[in-house]
Amino acid sequence: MDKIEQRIKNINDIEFPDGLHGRIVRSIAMRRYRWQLLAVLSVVIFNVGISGLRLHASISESGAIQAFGSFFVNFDMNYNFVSDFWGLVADYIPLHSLSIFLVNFALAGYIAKLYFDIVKYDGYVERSSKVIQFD
Amino acid sequence: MDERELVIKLKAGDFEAFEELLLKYEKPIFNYAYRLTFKKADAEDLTQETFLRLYDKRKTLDPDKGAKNWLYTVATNIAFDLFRKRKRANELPIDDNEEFETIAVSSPYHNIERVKDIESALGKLKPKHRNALVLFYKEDFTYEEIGVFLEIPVNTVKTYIRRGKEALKELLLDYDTEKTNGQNRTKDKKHKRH
Repeated sequence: MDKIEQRIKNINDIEFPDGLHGRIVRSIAMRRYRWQLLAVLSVVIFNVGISGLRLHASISESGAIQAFGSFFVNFDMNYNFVSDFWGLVADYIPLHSLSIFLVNFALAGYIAKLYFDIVKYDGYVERSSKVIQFD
Repeated sequence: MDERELVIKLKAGDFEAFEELLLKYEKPIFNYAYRLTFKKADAEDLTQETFLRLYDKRKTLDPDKGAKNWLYTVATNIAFDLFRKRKRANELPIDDNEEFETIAVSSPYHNIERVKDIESALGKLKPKHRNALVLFYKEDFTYEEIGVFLEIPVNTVKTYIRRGKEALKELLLDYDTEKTNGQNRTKDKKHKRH
């Protein structure tokens, strides 16, 4: 039998996973821009709030709620109804404000996810940085 | 550029210095992590967390000591943290029934069965014994360096290595006995058929 020392020494290396290097570099890059990310997130959330308020104000002013309410009283699923519905949407809801709101909302969600991924990792580092007892 | 310079640059926040250290140590740390956990996914996570921590704690590095020992210490700590969590969740670090992700062996010196035996036996050791054996025989660290990684006295390192070797010998002997018995049973069956 080979000596145990030799057998441990001769254990082969396992193949290094393809994407791991990139994953580490990306995580570090994200961490480097953490505070910038937080600043961008604050601005985008502010935008979501403002565009949401503007959208709400324009919908309320245009009387869209009453118009949609009376429209759905005569609900009937056919081509004319659907075409009238989109006409109503275009008339009463400012599509420009709606698209700004939706884009900002999606952007805020994405940046928030990136930011909370970093925060979650920070929590892990904090907990596992304590000295390990080898018992 | 030598490692001292790289560490000085990293401390100053140089990302290129970090990437150079990453390229130099990612493979050894990944393999070390695999020898500790015996799971590829765990080894990947452990490697990633080790290097993230290198970047986070770069200001605490000592250029004269380099990054190698620091990385092994941190990888060891993270692995033991993982073991503790699994122990609390009643999940063993190594699943006895799990297939080891052993790569194909090309050298004529090796033989797949023997490599699997030693890996399987290592996986059954206590983590502290396994760790000391891997660090000493596979990674070529000195007793003193291992003592620093594991935060234990040198004599305890020697004890871990000795006990680990004894346990490993017993396990390998068991495997050999099992194999011999298996071969004998097969021969007996063949004889009975004839």
